[in-house]
Amino acid sequence: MSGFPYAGYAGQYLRVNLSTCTIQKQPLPLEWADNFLGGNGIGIKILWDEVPADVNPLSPENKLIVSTGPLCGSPIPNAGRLEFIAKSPLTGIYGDANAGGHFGPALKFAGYDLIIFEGKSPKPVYLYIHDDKVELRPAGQLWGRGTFDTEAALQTEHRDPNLRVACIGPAGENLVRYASVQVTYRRSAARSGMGTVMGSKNLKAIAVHGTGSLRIADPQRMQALAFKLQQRIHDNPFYASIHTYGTPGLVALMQPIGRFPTQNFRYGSFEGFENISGEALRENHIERDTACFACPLGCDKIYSVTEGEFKGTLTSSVEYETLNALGSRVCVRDLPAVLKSNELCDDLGLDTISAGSSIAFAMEIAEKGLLNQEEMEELDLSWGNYHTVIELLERIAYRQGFLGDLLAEGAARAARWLGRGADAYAMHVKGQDISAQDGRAQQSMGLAHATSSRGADHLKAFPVIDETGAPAEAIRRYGKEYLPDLVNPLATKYKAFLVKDGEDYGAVVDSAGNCKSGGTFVMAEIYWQEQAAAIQTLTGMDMPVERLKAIGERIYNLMRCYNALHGITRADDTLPWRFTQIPSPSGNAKGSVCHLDIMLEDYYHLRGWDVQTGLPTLETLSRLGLGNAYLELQAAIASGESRAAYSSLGWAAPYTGKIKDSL
Amino acid sequence: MILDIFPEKCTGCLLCELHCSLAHEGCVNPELSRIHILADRNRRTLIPIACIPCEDKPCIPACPEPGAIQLNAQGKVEITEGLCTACAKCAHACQIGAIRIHRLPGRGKNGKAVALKCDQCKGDPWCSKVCPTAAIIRVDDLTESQTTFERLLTTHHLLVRMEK
Repeated sequence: MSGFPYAGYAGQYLRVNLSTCTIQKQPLPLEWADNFLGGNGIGIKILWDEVPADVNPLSPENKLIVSTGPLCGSPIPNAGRLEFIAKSPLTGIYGDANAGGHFGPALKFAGYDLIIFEGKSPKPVYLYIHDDKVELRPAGQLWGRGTFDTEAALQTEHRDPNLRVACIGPAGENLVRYASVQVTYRRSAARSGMGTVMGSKNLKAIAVHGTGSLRIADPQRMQALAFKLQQRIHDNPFYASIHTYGTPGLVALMQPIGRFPTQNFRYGSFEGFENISGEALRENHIERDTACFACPLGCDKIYSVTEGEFKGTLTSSVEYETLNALGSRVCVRDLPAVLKSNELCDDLGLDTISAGSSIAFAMEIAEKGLLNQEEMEELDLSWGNYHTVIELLERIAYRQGFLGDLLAEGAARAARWLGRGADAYAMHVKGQDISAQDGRAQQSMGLAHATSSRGADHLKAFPVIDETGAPAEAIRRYGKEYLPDLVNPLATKYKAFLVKDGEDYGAVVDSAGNCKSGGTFVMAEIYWQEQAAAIQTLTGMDMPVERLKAIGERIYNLMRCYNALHGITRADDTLPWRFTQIPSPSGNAKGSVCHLDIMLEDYYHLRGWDVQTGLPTLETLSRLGLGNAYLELQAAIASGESRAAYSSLGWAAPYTGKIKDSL
Repeated sequence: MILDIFPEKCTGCLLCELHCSLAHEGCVNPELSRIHILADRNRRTLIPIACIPCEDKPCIPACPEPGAIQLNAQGKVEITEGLCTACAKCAHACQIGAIRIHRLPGRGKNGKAVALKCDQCKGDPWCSKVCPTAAIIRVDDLTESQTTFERLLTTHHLLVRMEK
């Protein structure tokens, strides 16, 4: 095979030009692995080098990178994740989405660390990979079909029930700006519109069967380490809950602390929460426990509805985020309806978070009288009407009618297009909808949303130890010196430290190929030390913790540079008014607002970024070996290129002014 | 010792396959695992398949090569790779599909291919150690083997019916 010096990597990647229908197999540059590890680390490196500021995300010049990391495919617990990276059609800046399932490892076993898609196919195609055999095939017969059908059709066509598929549904084809990529088995790389990029390139699917081996530098130590880490996860106090309920178990935990966003973030708790809790889900709808690749936790599960209006619904990996976005965020407390919505989003290829947020936005602007009767198209947009939610999901995916087409743009763009003061009700940062956390109830999450490199997102920093307060975990990670403030959700002290550490470590996790929900954050049995040991044992790279920390920081800084290239500054590291001005009306957080500015000051200091502009300094970037990025960025700012890019991002800035409505 | 397998507990995480290939081949490759997780398209049925071993052991008389597959002193069915011609008769004789033929250069009697099956890791099987849901466990009561075999066979038939 390849002469790549490190084990764990396949050592080669695919560059697929869809315009010219050419496929090149190229050796993986050593520098990519050494400095950026894999996954979204290599992804941002490629975006920085190859996709300049003036590229429209929906144009052929944008590139989609589908990338595994070195741990992906190994028996290290939860090491089956892969990343999709591109300039985001939702935000116009850096975008990525991560998925579990069983697709990533198959790509690795087929012999490829990553695929770069460039250009645009004149007709719908899919990429078929069976080890060395790689070809673009016509996908006209698949165009228009849902993701479940598409996956089944490809498996039938190739007479291969083990074919792993990543595909888009109608939402991606119709360029809904938050279209997901669905991967076998029904897992979603959903955020930032990576499915939209596939749609814009006429790329319907990627189908992989890999039969090769993953070389391990030290097989015996690897096996012992993987087993030890798995046992430690199993013995962790959080194991039972995650194993039994998955992320839906969080509903009942977030409710009392006022961190369960309700009615478009107006409230932090939902009186119908018990109806859509993890406990209700398991008790009434569980069909089977299933798991992603190499995952001992198994938060993935199959659920069904066996009676009532939504009888026949079969859906899997229902997440906390979805129960919130399509449940309490729109005030729906009918669990079968939420399961139906989840099934629909997966089949249509929609991000449940942004879909729910867009619908919540529509319901709120309707309530405020910002839509006229004609525009509402005979839909009852009152809160909690799940028939409307389900109808709108379909209309959005096909861009049907005024509302379908409007909401397909996402709340932040829709608000800009509408005007009328609608921007006050688009709950987003940098164009991406805020996920199911409330910075008023957990200060660190407010900061995390504001500084995330892909627009609002809890998963970049994933600061979980102050959620409900986990002092033992905090001491294990950081020592005693930061207590008690660090674990107090309402305190701002040390939260910048927590967020920076999480962002750097998260960049490493997303680049290595393991999972943020399974043992790296919530139960940090695999933290810096263990992660470095796993990478070293697997690849044979010399990986002291300090080097791994520098890699994480380098990746996060380059993402920031890429966003700054598009004109993003401190002014964009913000939160909508509701979080910073209106005291939380419920739960433990009652009376609290998010003190974002205090935490931001700390954050820029810790990052070594300019406090006024929020831009990385020459000193910081030089230390990380990114001195050239500094020069290129400054040149783009000086030439006006960044300002031009910023003016074409397309979304209304989050509303931060004063508002009459007290909620 | 036998392996006892409970298909309804399997989550399809494949940790057994990964550790099996790592222990036996020194690399990670689910295809080369001696245990395989079969699944229908939606994973509503999952079934770990490995040699239990069963009571009848039809694979042994099916083999035309003396000594290529035999019962060892611990009661396990073992393949001697150097004697195996990869004729696949043992694989066909096994009703649950616990033996697979692999094209592997340099392996087997003719240096091209070989039959691979579970050898129970010298009494401490990795699959049962790493299975997070105890879908695969080691049991010392050999009388359980027929029950396990029938359980796997039933689930296997169910899976085949579903695929059709």
